Amino acid sequence: MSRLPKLRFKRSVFAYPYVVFAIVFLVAPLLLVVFYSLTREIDNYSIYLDHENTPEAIIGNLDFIGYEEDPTLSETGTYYYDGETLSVVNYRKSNAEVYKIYFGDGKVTFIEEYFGGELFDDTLDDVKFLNRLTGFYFTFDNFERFFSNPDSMKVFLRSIYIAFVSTVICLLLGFPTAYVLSKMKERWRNFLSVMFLLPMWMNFLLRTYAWRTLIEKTGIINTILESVGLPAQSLMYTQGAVILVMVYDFLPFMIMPIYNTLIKLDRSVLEASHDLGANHYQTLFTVVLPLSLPGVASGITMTFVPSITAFAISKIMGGTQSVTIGEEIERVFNNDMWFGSAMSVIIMVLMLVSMFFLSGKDKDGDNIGGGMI
Amino acid sequence: MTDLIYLAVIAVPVLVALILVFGNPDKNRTKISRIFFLVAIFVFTYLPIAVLIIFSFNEGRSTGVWEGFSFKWYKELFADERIMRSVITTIIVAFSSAIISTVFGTFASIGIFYMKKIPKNIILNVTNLPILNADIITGVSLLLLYNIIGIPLGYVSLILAHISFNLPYVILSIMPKLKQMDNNLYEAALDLGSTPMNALIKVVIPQIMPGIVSGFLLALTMSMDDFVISLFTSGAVVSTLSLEIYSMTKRGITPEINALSTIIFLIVLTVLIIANLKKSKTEEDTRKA
Repeated sequence: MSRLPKLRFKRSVFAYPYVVFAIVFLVAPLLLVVFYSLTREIDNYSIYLDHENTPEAIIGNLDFIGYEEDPTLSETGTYYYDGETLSVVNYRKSNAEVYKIYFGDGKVTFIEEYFGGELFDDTLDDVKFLNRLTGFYFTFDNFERFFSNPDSMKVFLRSIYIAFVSTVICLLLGFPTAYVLSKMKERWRNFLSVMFLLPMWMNFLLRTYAWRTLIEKTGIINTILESVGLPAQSLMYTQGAVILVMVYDFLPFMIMPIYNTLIKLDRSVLEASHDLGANHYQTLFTVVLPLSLPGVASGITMTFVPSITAFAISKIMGGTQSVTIGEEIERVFNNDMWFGSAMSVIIMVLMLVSMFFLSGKDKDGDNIGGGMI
Repeated sequence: MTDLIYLAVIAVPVLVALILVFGNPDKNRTKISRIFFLVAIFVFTYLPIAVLIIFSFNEGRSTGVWEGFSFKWYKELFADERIMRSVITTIIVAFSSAIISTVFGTFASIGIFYMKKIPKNIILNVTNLPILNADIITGVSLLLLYNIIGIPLGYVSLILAHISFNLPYVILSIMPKLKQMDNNLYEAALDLGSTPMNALIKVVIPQIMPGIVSGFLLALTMSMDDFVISLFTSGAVVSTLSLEIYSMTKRGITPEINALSTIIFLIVLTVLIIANLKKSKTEEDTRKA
């Protein structure tokens, strides 16, 4: 037996750069979301004075990052509080936020204040720098705030409801479409499946926008209704409009995996079923349907997961009565990353649960990219 | 009340057809309902697109009333600096992220394929994360990462984000080809005196080429279609086409979007027709052989 030449390196080393990349860009960000969801920034925080943290050192640090003492603010001076003598100094930077610093007995308390309740971009980094050192604590506040607030719960349940309804409609329309297509002659079905899946390759914002032009107050549907003497309908900015567009946008993602499993069904299985005396409906319900379940499962995943967080659709088509959780995360995240992260974690958990029920059905990953290229 | 009547007019026939399509294929009513059902879905699919295309040639601003034929909105589209700049940005971001993730992903797949079973499974599951995860969470989490490690939002952050969600698609389209590959060829190349690196480039890569190509195309389309992740990772200065369309729908609609949609639709249509003609041709060739 001839010996194979010894390999000078293991081929698995090619994966190492990717492993590093995956840890930094795929795993770490998700851990960060979890971390942020469990912490809060400390807005008012105290630093205990010791030989390192002298008042002079703290003021020096503020000077260093561009804050200046502002004696024009009325609160500067000496105050008495709880029997303690506090001297208050206001520090501010270029009309942005003010740090009120209370020097008390062995303790310095910072209180951040913002003018107009807004942080300005150029000062944001400095605040982060200060806070990153000492400025967070672990808490379940973010989650409590979400679950105790009836408004956010309403948005959450509404998103699940909208996603559920659109997934069910997608399944009701998508399964028969895939079934009928799969029963056609090969030439026809190749052509038609491309035609039915084509919108999937168009920018989905354009598809969403397309419906807007149809159902707008001055859109084509109302123009037609009015020209035949019927009253115009106000269809925009409703939950119905959001569901309609979700169905429209995600229908190809339901048709495609089901179609792919149906055309791969072994014909001899169907023939065997007929030979053994099953009629058309018996074959349909006991053979075709169970064998198509993997496709159905991945179709449901591919519609339910994106529709639960789709925020562009509800933002373009919906009104105040159809705000979804995705919209809420996007809105909240700019002001409050901690709360936004908690919402993201809730969505992640929800998706893990739904995937747990649907997983393992589509192992080969055939359906990624629609098998069209 | 009128809502319900309209709903009934549209929904009831579709629902009836929906039940009948599963009937016995030899019966006429099944055949007719199948055709009706497909036509209904087809109309549902193409009605909005058709309206966009028709009204892109409209003289006036309205998207409901026809005021005469003109190419006015196409001219304005090409004169619109913001849109043209965002098209260029989209092309730059899509191509650079697709090329980088294809090269990187090819080597990563080869490495992963030869890993031991347990680390291999772990890394493949991690690779699945961005595909299974909702876009908004991927976007938000990358924003937090950039915040922590201090990457400013702009081209770099955008391209890095696109690479990170493209790589999994590239790897998942190459892995099956590696499984199908004949491993003996690689060893034969080594027996015949090739260096491992040379054998990899000249023997392994040609065998997995179809996977690499489809991974690249997939990465390209994913990158061009992305909106949510770009929204979080692009910052204020850089704007892709999706972001531009989104801000247009917020600012107020001009029929320029219609013209843009028509052009994009035609490009997609041509690409898909060419791809499928090529595909059916190669299928016929293999059948003949």
